[in-house]
Amino acid sequence: MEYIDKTLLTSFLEEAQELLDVIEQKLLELEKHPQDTELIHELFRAFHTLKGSSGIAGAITFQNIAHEFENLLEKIRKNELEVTSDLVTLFFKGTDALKEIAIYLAQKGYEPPLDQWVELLEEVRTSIPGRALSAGNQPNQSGGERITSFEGLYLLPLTFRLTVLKNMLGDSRSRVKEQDLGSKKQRLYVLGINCGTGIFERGLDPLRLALQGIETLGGRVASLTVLGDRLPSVNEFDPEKCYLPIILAFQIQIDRIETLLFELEFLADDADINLGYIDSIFELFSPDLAEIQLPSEEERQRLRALAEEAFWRIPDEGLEQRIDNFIALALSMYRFPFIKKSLFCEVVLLLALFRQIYGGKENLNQLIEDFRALLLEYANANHETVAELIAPREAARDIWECLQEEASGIEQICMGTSNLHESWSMSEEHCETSTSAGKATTVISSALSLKGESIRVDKHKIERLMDLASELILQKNGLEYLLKSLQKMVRDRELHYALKEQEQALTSVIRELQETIISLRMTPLRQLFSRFSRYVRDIAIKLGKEVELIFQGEETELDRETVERLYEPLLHLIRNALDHGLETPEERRRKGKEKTGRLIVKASREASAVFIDVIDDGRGIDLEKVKNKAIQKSLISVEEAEKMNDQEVMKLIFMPGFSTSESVTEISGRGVGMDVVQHTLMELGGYVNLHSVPDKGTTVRVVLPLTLLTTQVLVVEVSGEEIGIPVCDLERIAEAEEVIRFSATGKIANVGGHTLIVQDLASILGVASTRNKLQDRKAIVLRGGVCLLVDCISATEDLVVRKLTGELAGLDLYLGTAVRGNGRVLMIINTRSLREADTYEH
Amino acid sequence: MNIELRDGNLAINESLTIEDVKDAWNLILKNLSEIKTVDLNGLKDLDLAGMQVLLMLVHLKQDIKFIMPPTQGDPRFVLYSSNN
Repeated sequence: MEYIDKTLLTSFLEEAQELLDVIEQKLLELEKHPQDTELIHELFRAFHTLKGSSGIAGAITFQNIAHEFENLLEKIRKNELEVTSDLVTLFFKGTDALKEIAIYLAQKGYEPPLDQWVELLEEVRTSIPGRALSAGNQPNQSGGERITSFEGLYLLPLTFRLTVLKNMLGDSRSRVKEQDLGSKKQRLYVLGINCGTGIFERGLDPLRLALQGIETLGGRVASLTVLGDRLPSVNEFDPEKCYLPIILAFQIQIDRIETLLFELEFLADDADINLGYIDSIFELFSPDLAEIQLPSEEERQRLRALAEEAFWRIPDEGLEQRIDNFIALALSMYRFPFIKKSLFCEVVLLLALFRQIYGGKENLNQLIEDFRALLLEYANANHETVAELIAPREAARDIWECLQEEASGIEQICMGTSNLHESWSMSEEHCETSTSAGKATTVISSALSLKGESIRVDKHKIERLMDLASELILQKNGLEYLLKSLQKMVRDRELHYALKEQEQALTSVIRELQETIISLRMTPLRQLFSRFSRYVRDIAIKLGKEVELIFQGEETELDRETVERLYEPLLHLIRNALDHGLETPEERRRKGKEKTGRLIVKASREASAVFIDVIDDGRGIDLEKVKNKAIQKSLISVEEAEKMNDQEVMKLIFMPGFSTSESVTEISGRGVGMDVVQHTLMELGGYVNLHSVPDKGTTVRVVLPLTLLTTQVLVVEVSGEEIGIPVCDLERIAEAEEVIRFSATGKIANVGGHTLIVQDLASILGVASTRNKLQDRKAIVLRGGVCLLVDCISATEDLVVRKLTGELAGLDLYLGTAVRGNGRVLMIINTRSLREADTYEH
Repeated sequence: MNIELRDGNLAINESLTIEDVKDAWNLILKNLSEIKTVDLNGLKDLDLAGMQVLLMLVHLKQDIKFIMPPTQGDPRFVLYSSNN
């Protein structure tokens, strides 16, 4: 059992969940449209990504299963396999297995063994035509042979080789050695990608793909070269075609290179991809060797003596002294004639290394030790191996010159160890880089934006941000109140205007700020809804029912946390609709209905609430059956049952332990569900309503509050008391006299063809009747047909509404309280509590 | 992409990617004689297709000068315009 790195695991699991949801959605579509090649490609890409990211995380069991299904899709892509309902079911089994592993991983931090899924893998393999039944074809064996020692490295441009060299020198000594200690062995690879001209037409950018792959696998690019020698003439040049071969040198953990190869498979159809590794500096230069002058025996003895002398230790004195000693050593070696032609290169290389690690004495002494060992090896080696060690003098000179140029800026060399993105910071300084005729090498930067535009933020930080924004609004309201008081005292009109302008600007910025903060938390319901498709399919098959599942209003947004918690309650509602609501095709036919039942999951927004309706066109709720079950389970007495109206009977369904199902099945009937639904929704600040018509169907409406930082509130006055009404609940404001004129009883008015229920706010609040005359009063017409009579309107304010807590939490009449700019607390009325009934589709 | 030619300076802002290269290349071809410098200060996104266009420009005008903030140049990333 191998624990997976926590950071890797978290991001992998998040990605896996998203991808598995997408896969299920696509599989459902594929079942309906088995010939849709785009769907097949999308599924292939999703499994491919899953395989890649699980490989990065080190989730091998997951990776193996994902790989098998990817293979299956590859066969489908090549038309070697036909999409059937059974095959789709097999894919669903695969996604179930992957989900199971993901859950296991999330709980335990390590994977279950692959053994559990041997049967599934066998089933996959037998589905592939011509594939052996034995458990061969292990995915991690497939790419090994593609990695070879890179031929002809010395033919690459010198500057490329130099940057690779710097990387090897810098990292091999300081950084990579440390990483090696963690048993994650790294290696320097060279990747050559030679694309066909049509690669851009496939929407692929090989460079970006390679860089992304390397980066996501934790690799580090050492050098990148784009070879321009294949560019055509101006007349033939088409900017939308690709003419540039790419060569990349990068360092990466050896065990991750396979995953990178899989990542690059997308390019394989249109590109030659060569991958090799560099294990020795000399591979970069030695093939240029023109002339080898081997040391004479006498020279070798002298060299041995030199290497064995005691002054190889670097003194403890200051840095300068240490450098001088080191250079003296190098120069003493250079006095050997054969070194002039052969070892010179190595001296230079080691000097280059020395530059980069000069800061640490420990490293320096290690370097000296290496140097000494190298000389001894050199002196003691036979002629053949010496030849292998000798580097060309020409190359050495180039290296030396290159290092000389950069001698002034050791930091610049160190840039090579910086992260790919770090170098793209903006600066106001400018420099010019000129190309020289004939030998036009132009350094143009690493302006490659690899990251997406989204980032993950700790939800507590967002909550803190919301709290701060609420506080800011309270402070602003207080300021507004003081400004108004000030304006009454100051007569300077210009100052008035200036203050007003400033106040408006502040209000505007705060409003935008709060909208932005709210949007951080919001997410459309689409993703939640899509998770039900697979479930409905499977349950419908199990129950022998035919169901058409329809989603509406998926773009409606809700707080992300609420959406996450809605899954279970909605699943219960859908399960009930499938099991209890919808009839079998035969029963439906008998009733004269379409044999396929309809299940609609519909989201909509009204004012400050979001409705989610689960609507079925099934048999409806049998109220008599509900009553009898409740009596049978001793939830109510016979007398109580007799007194109940329809709505009250329906509410019995929400009682703990209630179920009308005759038998307990894995789908429903255990008597848990609706009470859990109600409980969860109450925790979310919402509630659930039921509406049912026999043989027409049932609608279960989930009502949830919208997350709002501030609520625009209309402050009205009645009998000297101030009360707030959310502006979003208003339809219009009219004169009270006008409304009453259309009312025969004073309680119901018909205005413009609409029936209004007229209520005096004073009587609702239980305060003394107003002394205002009717013609002075206002009628506040709310959505849903309620008309409130108030004395006057005081103001409209943006307020932070806090829910009532403690004993007051049960007061349905109020939405909450808010602190106004003048410091007074205002009660906000819950207009939904004034309505008599909601409207439903049935 | 936001590409602008003023007083011989070709300023390429925001991006030079496959979506932009056709327009960029047409502009370069039409005004080749005028272009003296290429200002990449505002460039934030460059892909292979974009590099290709810049490389062609270098091929056509080998004395052209590129202007960019020094911090944006990373010695690990080098573009070659010859068989060097």
